[in-house]
Amino acid sequence: MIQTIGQALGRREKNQSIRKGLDATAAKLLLLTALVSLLAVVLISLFIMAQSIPFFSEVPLRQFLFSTQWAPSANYPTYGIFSFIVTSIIVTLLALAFSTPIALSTAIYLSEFAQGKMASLLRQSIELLAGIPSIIYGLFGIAVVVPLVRNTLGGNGYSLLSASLILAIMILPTIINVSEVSIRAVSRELREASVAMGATRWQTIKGVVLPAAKSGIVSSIILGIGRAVGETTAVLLVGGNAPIFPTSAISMGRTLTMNIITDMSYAEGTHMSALFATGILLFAFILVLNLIVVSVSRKSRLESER
Amino acid sequence: MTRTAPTTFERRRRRSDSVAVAMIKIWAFTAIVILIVIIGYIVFKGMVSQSLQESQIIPTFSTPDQSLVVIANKKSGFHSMPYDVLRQFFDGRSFSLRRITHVNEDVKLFYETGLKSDISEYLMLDEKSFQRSEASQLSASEVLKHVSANPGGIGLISKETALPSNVVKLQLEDVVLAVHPSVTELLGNIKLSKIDQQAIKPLFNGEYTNWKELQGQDLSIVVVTSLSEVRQIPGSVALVPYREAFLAQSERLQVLSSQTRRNFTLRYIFEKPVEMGKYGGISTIIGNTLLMVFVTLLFSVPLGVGSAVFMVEFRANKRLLSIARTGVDLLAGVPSIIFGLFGLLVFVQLAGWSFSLLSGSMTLALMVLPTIIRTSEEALLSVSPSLKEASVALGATKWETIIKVLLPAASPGIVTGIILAIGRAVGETAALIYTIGSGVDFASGPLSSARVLAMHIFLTITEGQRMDRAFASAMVLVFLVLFINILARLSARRLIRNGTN
Repeated sequence: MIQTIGQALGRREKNQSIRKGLDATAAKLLLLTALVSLLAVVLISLFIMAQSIPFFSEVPLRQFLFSTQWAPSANYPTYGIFSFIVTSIIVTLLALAFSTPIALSTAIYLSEFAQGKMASLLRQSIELLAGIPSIIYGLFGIAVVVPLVRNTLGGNGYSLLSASLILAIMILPTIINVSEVSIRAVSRELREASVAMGATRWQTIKGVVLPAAKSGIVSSIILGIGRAVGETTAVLLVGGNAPIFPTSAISMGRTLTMNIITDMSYAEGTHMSALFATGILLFAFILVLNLIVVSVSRKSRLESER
Repeated sequence: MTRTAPTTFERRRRRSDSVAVAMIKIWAFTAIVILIVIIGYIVFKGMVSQSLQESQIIPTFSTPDQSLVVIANKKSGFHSMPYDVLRQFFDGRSFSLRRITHVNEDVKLFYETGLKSDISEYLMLDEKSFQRSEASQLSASEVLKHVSANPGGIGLISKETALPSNVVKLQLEDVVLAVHPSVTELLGNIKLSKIDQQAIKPLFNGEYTNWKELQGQDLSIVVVTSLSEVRQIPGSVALVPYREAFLAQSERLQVLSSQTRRNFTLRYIFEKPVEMGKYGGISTIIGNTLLMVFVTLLFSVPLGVGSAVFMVEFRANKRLLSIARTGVDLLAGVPSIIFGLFGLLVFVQLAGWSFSLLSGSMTLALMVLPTIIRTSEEALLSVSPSLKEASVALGATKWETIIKVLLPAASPGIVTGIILAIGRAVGETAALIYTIGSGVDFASGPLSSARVLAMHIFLTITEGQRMDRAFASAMVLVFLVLFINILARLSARRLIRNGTN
């Protein structure tokens, strides 16, 4: 009898120690999984950087960044990506110019005016717009936007303008969602004070709400830039993909992402590492953008807590 | 108290207010308009395909007294049979229906005993061609029986009889537009070589008087009825049987016709792709897509949920938490092409998995990780602390509390995150182009190349051959995404309901 109780107690103790051990292992395991994302970011940068190091020992950074000559298969290959940088910038700026007015209006509407069914319909549409894959946007671009540009403005339609129109649609949800949250977060007192002073709705929005939500709106636009610069498939299909310096909005062009994806299929040696170097440039640019957003949102969080 | 009339300033202020508000409302709804246009367009082009065809044979025209009756199995998708297609079949040069219709069947030819010489004369073929086409000679009733038994069966009989229910009589299109050589002559940079199908009826009704109206020469139109007249009168045109025009080597006008066909059919989903998706369906591609999503989740869900649990349960360690969160934020912003590069370097080359399902899925798993972590973290944070405290009070360890209390309570939110991740994975292309490969067969193992739906659309577009196929696949993808979206919304709604209870 006593023996069996003793055995049971022993089992229990053993059980207990297993439970404790499991608990400790689980904590370590969880720590590991938590660091996976960070590890991934570090690994991605390390691997891509390692691939592009041999390139910079062969081609000076200045030439890489500021030459417009991209001829990796020539007898004397040149690796200048300046045209691609400029194309990326132009396409992104154009997309922002098309997208921001619509996105901010939508965000204002959703946070200030929207009620009931219409608001939920609008919200669902935006969610869906965010969920549509970029290949679908690309297909739509080829079938509708490219012929539209060709017929109205000339050229062959595959152009920076087409690419930026498609991008504008793609970054809409990003800008709307983030800026709506920040506009919504503006305190009621501020609004009421403005209305009490006799300001109209528009004056309140323009003079009080938007300035108060500025940091959130700026981060929404920065996130939009990040998405536009990093987008590949859709712009690849409508942008024309010619490695030339763009002369107008309807000329063909190649962005940084298009350059990586086009040449990757056949690149070797220095050419290959040039593509990884392009990737590093893109990656660094996007990391900086995201760090800005992270720090802005953290600062505003601190301010609101204070 | 009397109300004073508003001042001009006040009126202007109010007007500008209402204008501004109206503008905001209009802009706001462009998002819905854009969405409707895009989805509507993709669905329309997915359902219906329009193609321009150029041929000598005029569609829907046939000579009145035909000695041959062409019949076909209903499944073949034929309604009419152009002369040249029939000739190609009997010549043995064309042996599959998929060149002409959406049906992927081999042609089987049958003809009634005694028709051999008629057919060879009508189609201008010699005996050798007959052997090549492997057409079988049978009695009339046997022809009917075989045609009704074979989905690709096409039969020729001498007179119309009662047909079995799954056999249809085809209209034999064999009329061409014969013209005098002066009509198609190249003169002063103008040459008329083709004519729109829509213009043929008005042409013979006398609505056109000069070839100039049809972008041809300045020559008056003469409508005649026989080939001999066509050869003599400049500017003349006649409808004649193909055979006669061919034998007389007379000048013919090409006819441009636009064909509207059903693009998407149920068959398209359930059939295997043929010739890299040019013909047939996309069943294996859909299978690969599901497989890829499954493998992606296999890696990303444990990692993502684990990471979220850590960030919620071990909040005390502020520095670690902020490091982990920064990692998630940064990873979320990395463009997919960078993931693709990383996948190419690490999974394809370094791990030696080549272009395979595993390489692609691992790349995607990294990509969707932030989505899963963020939503899971939110869901875990919203679990009420009293539940946790009760579990700990009962003597459960932290691990037991997490597994038995925390995760079940947060599961609706976690599921929403997983569904969002699926949505992202299903539509991804840039990260997959250099990782997952492009084989159209169903993946036989983790290391076999697997073409998924989004990649299939991309490759079909870049190969530039069958845009109608690209649209049909795109429609399937759009519906898949819509379905996933609705699923996510339903599970989110369940989450809210649980929360209020």
